[in-house]
Amino acid sequence: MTGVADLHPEELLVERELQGEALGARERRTLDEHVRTCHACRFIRHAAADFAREVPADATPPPQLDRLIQTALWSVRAPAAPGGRRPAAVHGRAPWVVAAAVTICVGGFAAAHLAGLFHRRAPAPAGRPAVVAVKTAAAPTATAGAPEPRPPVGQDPAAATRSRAEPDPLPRGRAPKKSEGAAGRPWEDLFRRATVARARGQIQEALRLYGELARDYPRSPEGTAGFAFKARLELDQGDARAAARDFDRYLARGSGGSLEEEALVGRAEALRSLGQRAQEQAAWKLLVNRFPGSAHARRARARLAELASAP
Amino acid sequence: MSRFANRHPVDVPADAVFVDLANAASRGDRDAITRLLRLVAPAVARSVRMVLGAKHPDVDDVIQQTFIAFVGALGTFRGDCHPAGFASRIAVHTAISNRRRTKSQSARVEALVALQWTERHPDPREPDVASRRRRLVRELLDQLPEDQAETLALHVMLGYSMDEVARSMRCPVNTAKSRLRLAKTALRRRIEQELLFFDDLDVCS
Repeated sequence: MTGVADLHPEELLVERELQGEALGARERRTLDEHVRTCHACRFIRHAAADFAREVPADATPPPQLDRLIQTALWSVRAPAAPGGRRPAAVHGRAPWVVAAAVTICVGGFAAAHLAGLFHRRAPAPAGRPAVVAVKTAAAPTATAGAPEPRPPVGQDPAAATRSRAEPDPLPRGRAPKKSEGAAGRPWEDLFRRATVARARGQIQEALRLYGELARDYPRSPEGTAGFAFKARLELDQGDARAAARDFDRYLARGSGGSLEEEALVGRAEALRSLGQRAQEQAAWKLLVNRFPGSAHARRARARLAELASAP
Repeated sequence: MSRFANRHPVDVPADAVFVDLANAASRGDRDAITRLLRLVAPAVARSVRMVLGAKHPDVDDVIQQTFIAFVGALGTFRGDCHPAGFASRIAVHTAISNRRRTKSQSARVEALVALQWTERHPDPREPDVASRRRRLVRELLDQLPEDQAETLALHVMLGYSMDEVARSMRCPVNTAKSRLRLAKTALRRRIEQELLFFDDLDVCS
């Protein structure tokens, strides 16, 4: 007997056919008779074939997968939410939002550290919330359980944890305007617009906005990260010279930035594209020394061996 | 041979090596995370492209979102199936969520963008009727309750059997069948609403 939850017997034949099972002559006749009268089953037979043709199972994976993996790896550095549950999916422009949140949290600390703000931090303006803590909490929790971000060099993890609850530093490239109140601070807005532009594939616009961000607000966490994001886009666009320059600018902000490892990899790749073998070799060595356990270290060592054996 | 023969089995438990890898990754081992992502990336890309459309402008974003969600969900991976199967389900879920969100935010803009995208990138191999059928299924995914939408996507797009759908969604087989039956009922209604397209959809002859 057919239960309430069951599909009709003919529909199960459709399923078996979709799975590639050989049907007997009688089953085949039953199925053919059914699909002549059942629009839905006939439609599903066709549609399944349509989808399989559009994206074949043995299709070559898209070439950008490696880049997407690297970008995702940037993003999974957010700290685990204590006792937080891991959802099955994240929403919104999550990867870049998470990357931005992580960058802002850790990069903000690094910027503050470099600027000496730890030793002479100005009090937060009245009414200005501790937005870093808010951002950390608001970051999609799909990253819960991901590794703790590495604290900046020379700083103990406890201090890094403390820093997340501190107000983020004001950009020190120029004085904030009156209009730059708690809401809609321009460097955050620029960062958001750049991210949206990148997500929409408007690469030139994204490059312009990241450039503007880095130029006008170089001391803000977003501005610092802007150099690395801009460099990555430039590298993807084949502009290795600009990429190397901007990775250098990011790295010149001091070691310990949350994107340092990726920036070192990007810089080495850019130098490779430029054919600057000696500099490339030095860049890979620096990466291996700074991050010996990195996922990129194996690749770096392989490339170093290649460079060493080449004439 | 099944047209889906090359995909990773969902109803076969994962090798112990994958379980170990997932455990290491869930503890934050970046090398393990990288290896896992490389392992599942092709399946994720395929699932996302199925649900969104191969040339949809959000494909890359949703793949990235899936990678992040996959890493976040590794703590719940029990090795019931190949990690790629586990990741595929997350990809389908993420892609359907993306479709719904985008639709609710800017359906008209998206339609225009999609139209322009199609015009810029026509696929000469694809007859119009196949495109319309795919469009209809994708639009249905936006309208169905989430569980039914995922069931339909896993079954029709990724070619999962009902047993595989049930295992992937961690529900009884009868529940999966019930969801598919309801989805097909909605599909029938949708086809009937598109009477004008019947000939184009090739479902009447």
